[in-house]
Amino acid sequence: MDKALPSLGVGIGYREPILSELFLRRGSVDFLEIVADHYLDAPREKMKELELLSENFILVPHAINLSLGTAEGVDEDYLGKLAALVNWLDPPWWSEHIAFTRAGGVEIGHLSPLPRTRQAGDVFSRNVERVSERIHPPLILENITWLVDIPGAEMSEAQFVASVADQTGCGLLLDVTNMYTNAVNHGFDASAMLEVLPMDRVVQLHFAGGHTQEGVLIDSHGYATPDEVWDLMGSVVARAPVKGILLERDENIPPLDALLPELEQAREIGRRYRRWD
Amino acid sequence: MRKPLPTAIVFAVTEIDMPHFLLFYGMFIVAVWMGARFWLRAGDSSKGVAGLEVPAEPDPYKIAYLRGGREEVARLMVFKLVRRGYLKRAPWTGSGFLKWEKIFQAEGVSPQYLSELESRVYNQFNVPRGGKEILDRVPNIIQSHCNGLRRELEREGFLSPSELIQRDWFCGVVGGLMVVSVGGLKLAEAWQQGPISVAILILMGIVGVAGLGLLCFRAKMTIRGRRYLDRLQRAFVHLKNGPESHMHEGGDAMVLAVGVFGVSVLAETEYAYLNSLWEQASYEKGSVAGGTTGCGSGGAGGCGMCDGGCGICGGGDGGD
Ligand SMILES: [Fe+2]
Repeated sequence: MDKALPSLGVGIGYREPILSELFLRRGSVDFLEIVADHYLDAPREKMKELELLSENFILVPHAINLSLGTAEGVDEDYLGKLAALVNWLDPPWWSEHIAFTRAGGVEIGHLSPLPRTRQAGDVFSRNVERVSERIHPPLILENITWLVDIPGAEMSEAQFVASVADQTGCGLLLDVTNMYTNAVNHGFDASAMLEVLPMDRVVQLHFAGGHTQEGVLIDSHGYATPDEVWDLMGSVVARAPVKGILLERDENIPPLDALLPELEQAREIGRRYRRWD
Repeated sequence: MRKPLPTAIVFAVTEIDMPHFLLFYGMFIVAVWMGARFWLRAGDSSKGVAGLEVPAEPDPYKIAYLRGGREEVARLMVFKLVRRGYLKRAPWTGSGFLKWEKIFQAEGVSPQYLSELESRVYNQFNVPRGGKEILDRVPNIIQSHCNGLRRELEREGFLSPSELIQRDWFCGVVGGLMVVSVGGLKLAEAWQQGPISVAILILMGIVGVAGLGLLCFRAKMTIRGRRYLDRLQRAFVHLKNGPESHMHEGGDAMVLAVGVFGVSVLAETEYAYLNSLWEQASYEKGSVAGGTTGCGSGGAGGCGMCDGGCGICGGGDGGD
Protein backbone atom coordinates (compact mmCIF):
# COMPACT_ATOMS: atom_id res chain seq x y z
CA MET A 1 0.00 0.00 0.00
CA ASP A 2 1.06 3.56 -0.71
CA LYS A 3 3.21 4.74 2.20
CA ALA A 4 2.39 8.36 1.36
CA LEU A 5 -1.10 8.19 2.85
CA PRO A 6 -1.48 10.83 5.55
CA SER A 7 -1.88 9.94 9.19
CA LEU A 8 -5.36 11.13 10.13
CA GLY A 9 -5.64 10.15 13.79
CA VAL A 10 -8.93 9.32 15.45
CA GLY A 11 -12.36 9.75 13.93
CA ILE A 12 -15.99 8.83 14.26
CA GLY A 13 -18.63 7.67 11.82
CA TYR A 14 -20.75 10.73 11.02
CA ARG A 15 -24.36 10.46 12.10
CA GLU A 16 -26.72 13.42 11.89
CA PRO A 17 -27.63 13.56 15.63
CA ILE A 18 -24.05 14.48 16.54
CA LEU A 19 -23.63 17.21 13.91
CA SER A 20 -23.64 20.24 16.20
CA GLU A 21 -21.63 18.52 18.89
CA LEU A 22 -18.96 17.74 16.33
CA PHE A 23 -18.62 21.46 15.69
CA LEU A 24 -18.50 22.16 19.42
CA ARG A 25 -15.86 19.46 19.92
CA ARG A 26 -13.70 20.02 16.88
CA GLY A 27 -10.44 19.28 18.66
CA SER A 28 -11.54 15.81 19.73
CA VAL A 29 -12.27 14.42 16.28
CA ASP A 30 -9.59 14.31 13.57
CA PHE A 31 -11.70 12.95 10.75
CA LEU A 32 -15.17 11.72 9.89
CA GLU A 33 -16.31 8.74 7.92
CA ILE A 34 -19.46 9.36 5.91
CA VAL A 35 -21.68 6.62 4.50
CA ALA A 36 -21.32 7.37 0.79
CA ASP A 37 -24.71 5.82 0.01
CA HIS A 38 -26.45 8.55 2.02
CA TYR A 39 -25.25 11.14 -0.50
CA LEU A 40 -26.06 9.37 -3.77
CA ASP A 41 -29.29 10.80 -5.20
CA ALA A 42 -29.54 12.86 -2.02
CA PRO A 43 -31.85 15.86 -1.69
CA ARG A 44 -30.36 19.35 -1.77
CA GLU A 45 -30.46 19.72 2.01
CA LYS A 46 -28.43 16.55 2.49
CA MET A 47 -25.86 17.75 -0.04
CA LYS A 48 -25.60 21.06 1.81
CA GLU A 49 -24.84 19.05 4.94
CA LEU A 50 -22.08 17.28 3.04
CA GLU A 51 -20.72 20.59 1.78
CA LEU A 52 -20.63 21.91 5.34
CA LEU A 53 -18.87 18.78 6.61
CA SER A 54 -16.35 18.76 3.77
CA GLU A 55 -15.43 22.39 4.44
CA ASN A 56 -14.73 21.70 8.07
CA PHE A 57 -13.55 18.11 8.46
CA ILE A 58 -11.44 15.53 6.65
CA LEU A 59 -14.00 13.13 5.23
CA VAL A 60 -13.48 9.49 4.33
CA PRO A 61 -16.32 7.99 2.28
CA HIS A 62 -17.44 4.50 3.23
CA ALA A 63 -19.50 2.70 0.58
CA ILE A 64 -21.92 -0.11 1.33
CA ASN A 65 -23.67 -1.18 -1.85
CA LEU A 66 -20.95 -1.38 -4.48
CA SER A 67 -21.03 -5.16 -4.06
CA LEU A 68 -17.48 -5.85 -5.14
CA GLY A 69 -18.04 -9.60 -4.82
CA THR A 70 -20.85 -9.79 -7.39
CA ALA A 71 -20.01 -12.17 -10.23
CA GLU A 72 -21.88 -10.11 -12.88
CA GLY A 73 -19.72 -7.09 -12.13
CA VAL A 74 -20.48 -3.83 -10.36
CA ASP A 75 -23.60 -1.80 -11.08
CA GLU A 76 -22.32 0.86 -13.48
CA ASP A 77 -25.05 3.33 -12.53
CA TYR A 78 -24.17 3.08 -8.85
CA LEU A 79 -20.47 3.21 -9.66
CA GLY A 80 -20.96 6.38 -11.70
CA LYS A 81 -22.68 8.16 -8.82
CA LEU A 82 -20.18 6.89 -6.29
CA ALA A 83 -17.27 7.95 -8.50
CA ALA A 84 -18.72 11.45 -8.85
CA LEU A 85 -19.06 11.75 -5.08
CA VAL A 86 -15.68 10.30 -4.09
CA ASN A 87 -13.76 12.14 -6.80
CA TRP A 88 -15.42 15.41 -5.79
CA LEU A 89 -14.55 14.90 -2.11
CA ASP A 90 -11.03 13.82 -3.05
CA PRO A 91 -10.41 12.05 0.29
CA PRO A 92 -7.08 10.52 1.35
CA TRP A 93 -8.76 7.12 0.81
CA TRP A 94 -12.21 5.55 0.71
CA SER A 95 -13.50 2.14 1.72
CA GLU A 96 -15.81 -0.74 0.80
CA HIS A 97 -16.40 -4.21 2.17
CA ILE A 98 -15.08 -7.61 1.18
CA ALA A 99 -18.62 -8.77 0.55
CA PHE A 100 -21.51 -8.73 -1.87
CA THR A 101 -24.91 -7.09 -1.52
CA ARG A 102 -26.33 -8.02 -4.92
CA ALA A 103 -26.58 -11.33 -6.75
CA GLY A 104 -28.34 -12.16 -10.00
CA GLY A 105 -29.63 -8.58 -10.15
CA VAL A 106 -31.32 -8.91 -6.76
CA GLU A 107 -30.46 -6.58 -3.88
CA ILE A 108 -29.85 -8.69 -0.78
CA GLY A 109 -30.10 -5.74 1.59
CA HIS A 110 -27.11 -6.57 3.75
CA LEU A 111 -23.42 -7.37 3.51
CA SER A 112 -22.99 -11.06 2.69
CA PRO A 113 -19.71 -12.95 2.99
CA LEU A 114 -18.04 -14.28 -0.14
CA PRO A 115 -17.21 -17.93 -0.59
CA ARG A 116 -13.55 -18.12 0.41
CA THR A 117 -12.34 -19.46 -2.91
CA ARG A 118 -9.80 -18.38 -5.53
CA GLN A 119 -12.63 -17.90 -8.01
CA ALA A 120 -14.43 -15.45 -5.70
CA GLY A 121 -11.11 -13.66 -5.22
CA ASP A 122 -10.70 -13.34 -8.99
CA VAL A 123 -14.19 -11.88 -9.39
CA PHE A 124 -13.53 -9.45 -6.58
CA SER A 125 -10.23 -8.39 -8.04
CA ARG A 126 -11.76 -7.83 -11.48
CA ASN A 127 -14.45 -5.62 -9.96
CA VAL A 128 -11.91 -3.61 -7.99
CA GLU A 129 -9.96 -3.06 -11.20
CA ARG A 130 -13.07 -1.66 -12.90
CA VAL A 131 -13.81 0.58 -9.92
CA SER A 132 -10.24 1.94 -9.86
CA GLU A 133 -10.69 3.11 -13.44
CA ARG A 134 -13.49 5.43 -12.30
CA ILE A 135 -12.56 6.38 -8.73
CA HIS A 136 -9.19 8.04 -8.28
CA PRO A 137 -8.52 8.08 -4.49
CA PRO A 138 -7.18 4.76 -3.14
CA LEU A 139 -9.67 2.11 -2.04
CA ILE A 140 -9.24 0.15 1.18
CA LEU A 141 -11.18 -3.02 1.94
CA GLU A 142 -13.01 -3.92 5.14
CA ASN A 143 -13.50 -7.36 6.67
CA ILE A 144 -17.10 -8.13 7.65
CA THR A 145 -18.85 -10.36 10.16
CA TRP A 146 -20.45 -13.60 9.06
CA LEU A 147 -22.81 -15.96 10.78
CA VAL A 148 -23.01 -18.85 8.33
CA ASP A 149 -19.86 -20.37 6.89
CA ILE A 150 -20.31 -20.92 3.15
CA PRO A 151 -19.30 -24.50 2.31
CA GLY A 152 -16.42 -25.19 -0.04
CA ALA A 153 -14.02 -22.69 1.52
CA GLU A 154 -10.48 -23.09 0.23
CA MET A 155 -8.96 -20.89 2.89
CA SER A 156 -9.49 -19.30 6.29
CA GLU A 157 -10.99 -15.82 6.65
CA ALA A 158 -7.59 -14.27 7.31
CA GLN A 159 -6.08 -16.07 4.33
CA PHE A 160 -8.92 -14.92 2.10
CA VAL A 161 -8.60 -11.28 3.21
CA ALA A 162 -4.83 -11.48 2.69
CA SER A 163 -5.28 -13.00 -0.75
CA VAL A 164 -7.82 -10.35 -1.82
CA ALA A 165 -5.56 -7.56 -0.58
CA ASP A 166 -2.65 -9.09 -2.45
CA GLN A 167 -4.58 -9.57 -5.70
CA THR A 168 -6.15 -6.11 -5.72
CA GLY A 169 -3.20 -4.21 -4.28
CA CYS A 170 -5.64 -2.42 -1.95
CA GLY A 171 -5.04 -1.43 1.64
CA LEU A 172 -7.11 -2.84 4.48
CA LEU A 173 -9.70 -1.34 6.75
CA LEU A 174 -9.49 -3.78 9.61
CA ASP A 175 -12.63 -3.81 11.70
CA VAL A 176 -11.29 -5.16 14.98
CA THR A 177 -14.81 -5.54 16.35
CA ASN A 178 -15.76 -7.68 13.35
CA MET A 179 -12.64 -9.81 13.91
CA TYR A 180 -13.54 -10.27 17.53
CA THR A 181 -17.21 -10.96 16.72
CA ASN A 182 -16.32 -13.68 14.20
CA ALA A 183 -13.81 -15.18 16.61
CA VAL A 184 -16.42 -15.39 19.38
CA ASN A 185 -19.19 -16.72 17.14
CA HIS A 186 -17.02 -19.31 15.39
CA GLY A 187 -14.72 -20.22 18.23
CA PHE A 188 -11.29 -19.16 16.99
CA ASP A 189 -8.56 -16.87 18.29
CA ALA A 190 -8.82 -13.39 16.74
CA SER A 191 -5.20 -12.54 17.49
CA ALA A 192 -4.10 -15.60 15.48
CA MET A 193 -5.48 -13.79 12.39
CA LEU A 194 -2.77 -11.19 12.83
CA GLU A 195 -0.16 -13.82 11.96
CA VAL A 196 -1.78 -14.31 8.55
CA LEU A 197 -3.11 -10.86 7.62
CA PRO A 198 -0.73 -8.55 5.72
CA MET A 199 -0.25 -6.03 8.50
CA ASP A 200 1.74 -3.66 6.32
CA ARG A 201 -1.43 -3.10 4.27
CA VAL A 202 -3.58 -1.99 7.19
CA VAL A 203 -4.52 1.67 6.75
CA GLN A 204 -7.51 2.19 9.01
CA LEU A 205 -9.32 0.45 11.86
CA HIS A 206 -12.97 0.35 12.83
CA PHE A 207 -14.07 -0.37 16.35
CA ALA A 208 -17.43 -0.48 18.13
CA GLY A 209 -19.35 -2.44 20.72
CA GLY A 210 -22.03 -5.00 19.97
CA HIS A 211 -24.45 -7.05 22.00
CA THR A 212 -25.29 -10.72 22.50
CA GLN A 213 -28.59 -12.09 21.26
CA GLU A 214 -29.54 -15.74 21.78
CA GLY A 215 -25.93 -16.65 22.32
CA VAL A 216 -24.69 -14.87 19.21
CA LEU A 217 -22.55 -11.74 19.32
CA ILE A 218 -24.07 -9.07 17.04
CA ASP A 219 -21.96 -6.16 15.77
CA SER A 220 -24.73 -3.64 16.37
CA HIS A 221 -22.45 -0.64 16.92
CA GLY A 222 -24.63 0.34 19.83
CA TYR A 223 -22.63 -0.27 22.99
CA ALA A 224 -19.30 0.38 24.71
CA THR A 225 -16.28 -1.27 23.14
CA PRO A 226 -15.38 -4.44 25.06
CA ASP A 227 -11.95 -4.93 26.62
CA GLU A 228 -11.10 -7.76 24.22
CA VAL A 229 -11.51 -5.37 21.28
CA TRP A 230 -9.26 -2.80 22.93
CA ASP A 231 -6.62 -5.48 23.43
CA LEU A 232 -6.93 -6.58 19.81
CA MET A 233 -6.68 -2.97 18.66
CA GLY A 234 -3.47 -2.58 20.64
CA SER A 235 -2.00 -5.68 19.00
CA VAL A 236 -2.92 -4.43 15.51
CA VAL A 237 -1.63 -0.90 16.04
CA ALA A 238 1.63 -2.32 17.43
CA ARG A 239 2.24 -4.20 14.16
CA ALA A 240 0.51 -2.16 11.45
CA PRO A 241 1.24 1.35 10.10
CA VAL A 242 -2.30 2.46 10.99
CA LYS A 243 -3.24 5.93 9.67
CA GLY A 244 -6.63 6.25 11.28
CA ILE A 245 -8.85 4.62 13.91
CA LEU A 246 -12.58 5.17 13.73
CA LEU A 247 -15.43 4.57 16.15
CA GLU A 248 -18.68 3.35 14.60
CA ARG A 249 -21.89 4.07 16.46
CA ASP A 250 -25.26 3.40 14.88
CA GLU A 251 -27.60 2.55 17.75
CA ASN A 252 -28.20 4.14 21.17
CA ILE A 253 -26.34 7.20 20.01
CA PRO A 254 -25.49 9.16 23.17
CA PRO A 255 -24.26 12.77 23.33
CA LEU A 256 -20.84 12.98 21.72
CA ASP A 257 -19.27 13.77 25.08
CA ALA A 258 -20.10 10.24 26.22
CA LEU A 259 -18.14 8.81 23.28
CA LEU A 260 -15.10 11.02 23.64
CA PRO A 261 -13.38 8.79 26.25
CA GLU A 262 -13.37 5.93 23.68
CA LEU A 263 -11.88 8.23 21.06
CA GLU A 264 -9.28 9.35 23.55
CA GLN A 265 -8.42 5.74 24.42
CA ALA A 266 -7.94 4.93 20.72
CA ARG A 267 -5.84 8.06 20.29
CA GLU A 268 -3.66 6.98 23.17
CA ILE A 269 -3.10 3.55 21.59
CA GLY A 270 -1.99 5.25 18.37
CA ARG A 271 0.33 7.53 20.34
CA ARG A 272 1.82 4.62 22.22
CA TYR A 273 3.01 3.11 18.93
CA ARG A 274 3.92 6.49 17.41
CA ARG A 275 1.27 6.37 14.72
CA TRP A 276 0.58 10.06 15.43
CA ASP A 277 1.41 12.76 17.98
CA MET B 1 -26.97 77.35 -33.77
CA ARG B 2 -26.39 73.71 -32.74
CA LYS B 3 -28.08 72.65 -29.55
CA PRO B 4 -25.84 71.40 -26.67
CA LEU B 5 -25.84 67.57 -26.42
CA PRO B 6 -28.19 67.06 -23.39
CA THR B 7 -30.75 69.38 -24.95
CA ALA B 8 -30.40 67.49 -28.21
CA ILE B 9 -31.03 64.18 -26.44
CA VAL B 10 -34.07 65.58 -24.64
CA PHE B 11 -35.34 66.89 -27.93
CA ALA B 12 -34.78 63.54 -29.67
CA VAL B 13 -36.60 61.68 -26.86
CA THR B 14 -39.61 63.99 -26.99
CA GLU B 15 -39.77 63.49 -30.75
CA ILE B 16 -40.54 59.75 -30.39
CA ASP B 17 -44.23 59.01 -30.94
CA MET B 18 -46.18 57.84 -27.95
CA PRO B 19 -46.72 54.11 -28.61
CA HIS B 20 -43.09 53.79 -29.76
CA PHE B 21 -41.93 55.78 -26.80
CA LEU B 22 -43.26 53.10 -24.43
CA LEU B 23 -41.07 50.54 -26.18
CA PHE B 24 -38.12 52.90 -26.02
CA TYR B 25 -38.82 53.59 -22.35
CA GLY B 26 -38.90 49.88 -21.55
CA MET B 27 -35.54 49.41 -23.26
CA PHE B 28 -34.16 52.46 -21.50
CA ILE B 29 -35.17 51.07 -18.09
CA VAL B 30 -33.54 47.72 -18.84
CA ALA B 31 -30.38 49.54 -19.96
CA VAL B 32 -30.31 51.52 -16.68
CA TRP B 33 -30.74 48.26 -14.71
CA MET B 34 -27.88 46.64 -16.59
CA GLY B 35 -25.67 49.65 -16.08
CA ALA B 36 -26.46 49.65 -12.36
CA ARG B 37 -25.76 45.94 -12.12
CA PHE B 38 -22.41 46.38 -13.84
CA TRP B 39 -21.54 49.22 -11.46
CA LEU B 40 -22.51 47.20 -8.40
CA ARG B 41 -20.65 44.08 -9.44
CA ALA B 42 -17.52 46.07 -10.06
CA GLY B 43 -17.60 47.22 -6.44
CA ASP B 44 -18.50 43.90 -4.77
CA SER B 45 -15.55 42.48 -2.90
CA SER B 46 -17.46 39.68 -1.20
CA LYS B 47 -17.18 36.99 -3.82
CA GLY B 48 -15.78 33.53 -3.23
CA VAL B 49 -16.41 30.85 -0.67
CA ALA B 50 -12.90 30.55 0.78
CA GLY B 51 -12.75 31.26 4.49
CA LEU B 52 -16.32 30.16 5.22
CA GLU B 53 -15.23 27.43 7.63
CA VAL B 54 -17.03 27.32 10.95
CA PRO B 55 -14.48 28.57 13.50
CA ALA B 56 -13.35 26.15 16.20
CA GLU B 57 -14.23 28.81 18.78
CA PRO B 58 -16.98 30.94 17.29
CA ASP B 59 -17.47 34.41 18.78
CA PRO B 60 -21.19 34.64 19.63
CA TYR B 61 -21.05 38.46 19.69
CA LYS B 62 -19.56 38.65 16.25
CA ILE B 63 -22.23 36.31 14.89
CA ALA B 64 -24.96 38.28 16.66
CA TYR B 65 -23.67 41.47 15.10
CA LEU B 66 -23.59 39.89 11.66
CA ARG B 67 -27.14 38.68 12.13
CA GLY B 68 -28.72 41.76 13.52
CA GLY B 69 -26.28 44.53 14.38
CA ARG B 70 -25.81 46.38 17.63
CA GLU B 71 -29.17 45.54 19.18
CA GLU B 72 -28.56 41.83 18.77
CA VAL B 73 -25.22 42.18 20.54
CA ALA B 74 -27.02 44.05 23.33
CA ARG B 75 -29.61 41.28 23.67
CA LEU B 76 -26.88 38.66 23.78
CA MET B 77 -24.87 40.55 26.37
CA VAL B 78 -27.93 40.91 28.58
CA PHE B 79 -28.69 37.20 28.20
CA LYS B 80 -25.13 36.30 29.13
CA LEU B 81 -25.34 38.43 32.28
CA VAL B 82 -28.64 36.78 33.15
CA ARG B 83 -27.23 33.34 32.49
CA ARG B 84 -24.21 33.98 34.68
CA GLY B 85 -26.47 35.11 37.49
CA TYR B 86 -25.59 38.83 37.49
CA LEU B 87 -29.02 39.93 36.31
CA LYS B 88 -32.38 38.45 37.09
CA ARG B 89 -36.04 38.77 36.31
CA ALA B 90 -37.84 41.50 38.23
CA PRO B 91 -41.34 40.97 39.59
CA TRP B 92 -44.02 41.89 37.07
CA THR B 93 -45.19 45.46 37.00
CA GLY B 94 -48.35 46.77 35.43
CA SER B 95 -51.80 45.53 36.04
CA GLY B 96 -54.43 43.24 34.66
CA PHE B 97 -53.84 41.90 31.21
CA LEU B 98 -50.56 43.70 30.54
CA LYS B 99 -47.56 42.37 32.47
CA TRP B 100 -44.26 44.08 31.81
CA GLU B 101 -41.10 42.04 32.02
CA LYS B 102 -38.10 43.80 33.57
CA ILE B 103 -34.69 42.69 34.70
CA PHE B 104 -32.35 44.06 37.30
CA GLN B 105 -29.20 43.27 39.28
CA ALA B 106 -29.25 40.07 41.31
CA GLU B 107 -28.43 40.50 45.00
CA GLY B 108 -25.29 39.17 46.55
CA VAL B 109 -23.33 38.86 43.31
CA SER B 110 -20.10 40.77 42.96
CA PRO B 111 -19.39 42.12 39.48
CA GLN B 112 -15.62 41.93 40.03
CA TYR B 113 -15.20 39.12 37.48
CA LEU B 114 -16.96 41.01 34.72
CA SER B 115 -15.04 42.70 31.94
CA GLU B 116 -15.07 46.49 31.88
CA LEU B 117 -17.68 46.52 29.13
CA GLU B 118 -19.87 43.98 30.91
CA SER B 119 -19.57 46.01 34.13
CA ARG B 120 -20.79 49.11 32.35
CA VAL B 121 -23.76 47.23 31.00
CA TYR B 122 -24.39 45.62 34.38
CA ASN B 123 -24.38 49.04 36.07
CA GLN B 124 -27.37 50.08 33.98
CA PHE B 125 -29.50 47.61 35.90
CA ASN B 126 -29.32 49.24 39.34
CA VAL B 127 -33.06 49.70 38.83
CA PRO B 128 -35.37 47.28 36.98
CA ARG B 129 -35.28 47.97 33.23
CA GLY B 130 -37.77 47.04 30.57
CA GLY B 131 -36.87 46.00 27.03
CA LYS B 132 -37.21 49.43 25.45
CA GLU B 133 -35.12 51.10 28.14
CA ILE B 134 -32.44 48.46 27.71
CA LEU B 135 -32.35 48.93 23.95
CA ASP B 136 -32.21 52.69 24.44
CA ARG B 137 -29.17 52.42 26.69
CA VAL B 138 -27.08 49.30 26.12
CA PRO B 139 -26.42 49.66 22.36
CA ASN B 140 -24.80 53.04 23.00
CA ILE B 141 -22.57 51.59 25.70
CA ILE B 142 -21.35 48.78 23.46
CA GLN B 143 -20.99 51.01 20.38
CA SER B 144 -17.19 51.02 20.25
CA HIS B 145 -17.04 47.23 20.78
CA CYS B 146 -19.53 46.85 17.93
CA ASN B 147 -17.45 49.12 15.71
CA GLY B 148 -14.59 46.65 16.13
CA LEU B 149 -16.88 43.73 15.25
CA ARG B 150 -18.18 45.60 12.22
CA ARG B 151 -14.67 46.34 10.94
CA GLU B 152 -13.73 42.68 11.38
CA LEU B 153 -16.84 41.50 9.53
CA GLU B 154 -16.25 44.01 6.74
CA ARG B 155 -12.64 42.90 6.41
CA GLU B 156 -13.81 39.29 6.06
CA GLY B 157 -16.32 40.29 3.42
CA PHE B 158 -19.37 39.36 5.52
CA LEU B 159 -20.70 42.91 5.80
CA SER B 160 -20.65 45.56 3.11
CA PRO B 161 -18.39 48.48 3.96
CA SER B 162 -20.23 51.77 4.53
CA GLU B 163 -18.51 53.34 1.50
CA LEU B 164 -19.85 50.57 -0.71
CA ILE B 165 -23.37 51.09 0.59
CA GLN B 166 -23.08 54.84 -0.07
CA ARG B 167 -21.81 54.07 -3.56
CA ASP B 168 -24.81 51.85 -4.18
CA TRP B 169 -27.21 54.46 -2.87
CA PHE B 170 -25.65 56.98 -5.23
CA CYS B 171 -26.10 54.54 -8.10
CA GLY B 172 -29.74 53.92 -7.14
CA VAL B 173 -30.58 57.60 -6.80
CA VAL B 174 -28.93 58.58 -10.10
CA GLY B 175 -30.55 55.66 -11.94
CA GLY B 176 -33.92 56.45 -10.37
CA LEU B 177 -33.70 60.11 -11.43
CA MET B 178 -32.86 59.04 -14.97
CA VAL B 179 -35.87 56.72 -15.14
CA VAL B 180 -38.23 59.32 -13.65
CA SER B 181 -37.01 62.22 -15.79
CA VAL B 182 -37.16 60.34 -19.11
CA GLY B 183 -40.67 59.14 -18.26
CA GLY B 184 -41.61 62.66 -17.11
CA LEU B 185 -40.67 64.11 -20.50
CA LYS B 186 -43.60 62.31 -22.07
CA LEU B 187 -46.10 62.58 -19.27
CA ALA B 188 -47.87 65.63 -20.75
CA GLU B 189 -48.12 64.01 -24.18
CA ALA B 190 -49.36 60.77 -22.61
CA TRP B 191 -52.02 62.79 -20.81
CA GLN B 192 -53.35 63.98 -24.16
CA GLN B 193 -53.51 60.37 -25.37
CA GLY B 194 -55.70 59.35 -22.46
CA PRO B 195 -55.50 57.85 -18.99
CA ILE B 196 -54.33 54.39 -20.20
CA SER B 197 -51.13 55.82 -21.67
CA VAL B 198 -50.49 57.74 -18.43
CA ALA B 199 -51.11 54.62 -16.34
CA ILE B 200 -48.74 52.53 -18.47
CA LEU B 201 -46.07 55.21 -18.33
CA ILE B 202 -46.34 55.62 -14.57
CA LEU B 203 -46.40 51.86 -14.05
CA MET B 204 -43.26 51.44 -16.13
CA GLY B 205 -41.59 54.21 -14.14
CA ILE B 206 -42.54 52.53 -10.86
CA VAL B 207 -41.25 49.14 -12.05
CA GLY B 208 -38.03 50.78 -13.24
CA VAL B 209 -37.41 52.53 -9.92
CA ALA B 210 -38.42 49.46 -7.87
CA GLY B 211 -36.05 47.28 -9.88
CA LEU B 212 -33.25 49.73 -9.18
CA GLY B 213 -34.14 49.69 -5.52
CA LEU B 214 -33.80 45.91 -5.40
CA LEU B 215 -30.52 46.10 -7.24
CA CYS B 216 -28.88 49.01 -5.53
CA PHE B 217 -30.00 49.22 -1.93
CA ARG B 218 -28.07 46.21 -0.87
CA ALA B 219 -28.34 44.58 2.50
CA LYS B 220 -25.50 45.27 4.83
CA MET B 221 -24.89 41.56 4.96
CA THR B 222 -23.13 40.46 1.78
CA ILE B 223 -23.91 37.27 -0.12
CA ARG B 224 -20.77 35.86 1.45
CA GLY B 225 -22.02 36.94 4.87
CA ARG B 226 -25.34 35.21 4.29
CA ARG B 227 -23.55 32.04 3.20
CA TYR B 228 -21.41 32.18 6.32
CA LEU B 229 -24.41 32.68 8.60
CA ASP B 230 -26.21 29.86 6.81
CA ARG B 231 -23.26 27.55 7.49
CA LEU B 232 -23.16 28.56 11.16
CA GLN B 233 -26.89 27.96 11.51
CA ARG B 234 -26.59 24.57 9.83
CA ALA B 235 -23.61 23.57 11.96
CA PHE B 236 -25.31 24.51 15.22
CA VAL B 237 -28.84 23.54 14.25
CA HIS B 238 -29.19 21.17 17.20
CA LEU B 239 -28.57 24.01 19.63
CA LYS B 240 -31.62 25.71 18.20
CA ASN B 241 -33.88 22.84 19.14
CA GLY B 242 -32.56 22.29 22.60
CA PRO B 243 -29.82 24.57 23.83
CA GLU B 244 -30.38 23.38 27.40
CA SER B 245 -29.30 19.87 26.49
CA HIS B 246 -25.87 21.30 25.75
CA MET B 247 -25.52 23.06 29.07
CA HIS B 248 -22.94 20.55 30.17
CA GLU B 249 -20.60 22.25 27.74
CA GLY B 250 -19.89 25.00 30.22
CA GLY B 251 -22.90 27.09 29.30
CA ASP B 252 -21.17 28.54 26.27
CA ALA B 253 -23.30 26.49 23.90
CA MET B 254 -26.40 28.32 25.05
CA VAL B 255 -24.79 31.72 24.60
CA LEU B 256 -23.59 30.56 21.22
CA ALA B 257 -27.11 29.42 20.34
CA VAL B 258 -28.47 32.89 21.12
CA GLY B 259 -25.64 34.43 19.10
CA VAL B 260 -26.35 32.23 16.09
CA PHE B 261 -30.15 32.10 16.16
CA GLY B 262 -31.31 34.92 18.40
CA VAL B 263 -33.26 34.89 21.66
CA SER B 264 -36.08 32.87 20.12
CA VAL B 265 -34.09 29.73 20.96
CA LEU B 266 -34.88 30.47 24.58
CA ALA B 267 -38.60 29.93 23.99
CA GLU B 268 -38.79 26.55 25.72
CA THR B 269 -36.24 27.32 28.41
CA GLU B 270 -36.27 28.97 31.82
CA TYR B 271 -35.21 32.18 30.06
CA ALA B 272 -38.33 32.38 27.88
CA TYR B 273 -39.30 35.62 29.67
CA LEU B 274 -36.47 37.35 27.81
CA ASN B 275 -38.42 36.74 24.60
CA SER B 276 -41.38 38.59 26.10
CA LEU B 277 -39.05 41.36 27.26
CA TRP B 278 -37.84 42.04 23.72
CA GLU B 279 -41.30 41.64 22.23
CA GLN B 280 -42.55 44.26 24.64
CA ALA B 281 -39.66 46.50 23.60
CA SER B 282 -40.83 46.23 20.00
CA TYR B 283 -44.37 46.97 21.07
CA GLU B 284 -43.26 50.01 23.05
CA LYS B 285 -41.15 51.28 20.21
CA GLY B 286 -44.06 50.70 17.90
CA SER B 287 -41.67 50.26 15.04
CA VAL B 288 -41.50 47.61 12.37
CA ALA B 289 -37.76 47.33 12.71
CA GLY B 290 -38.10 46.19 16.28
CA GLY B 291 -40.92 43.75 15.63
CA THR B 292 -40.53 40.06 16.08
CA THR B 293 -40.51 39.39 12.39
CA GLY B 294 -38.03 42.08 11.49
CA CYS B 295 -34.29 42.01 11.50
CA GLY B 296 -32.58 42.59 14.74
CA SER B 297 -35.55 41.28 16.61
CA GLY B 298 -33.69 38.25 17.71
CA GLY B 299 -36.03 35.94 15.89
CA ALA B 300 -34.59 32.65 14.75
CA GLY B 301 -35.34 33.62 11.20
CA GLY B 302 -33.00 36.52 11.74
CA CYS B 303 -32.09 38.27 8.61
CA GLY B 304 -33.21 35.48 6.42
CA MET B 305 -36.34 37.61 6.15
CA CYS B 306 -34.32 40.42 4.71
CA ASP B 307 -32.07 38.55 2.35
CA GLY B 308 -33.49 40.29 -0.64
CA GLY B 309 -31.38 43.30 0.07
CA CYS B 310 -33.73 45.72 1.71
CA GLY B 311 -30.83 47.84 2.79
CA ILE B 312 -32.42 48.54 6.12
CA CYS B 313 -31.98 45.07 7.46
CA GLY B 314 -29.17 42.59 7.14
CA GLY B 315 -26.50 44.16 9.25
CA GLY B 316 -29.08 46.04 11.26
CA ASP B 317 -27.57 49.23 12.46
CA GLY B 318 -24.08 47.91 12.06
CA GLY B 319 -23.17 50.64 9.69
CA ASP B 320 -23.67 53.35 12.25
FE1 LIG C 1 -16.94 -1.58 10.20
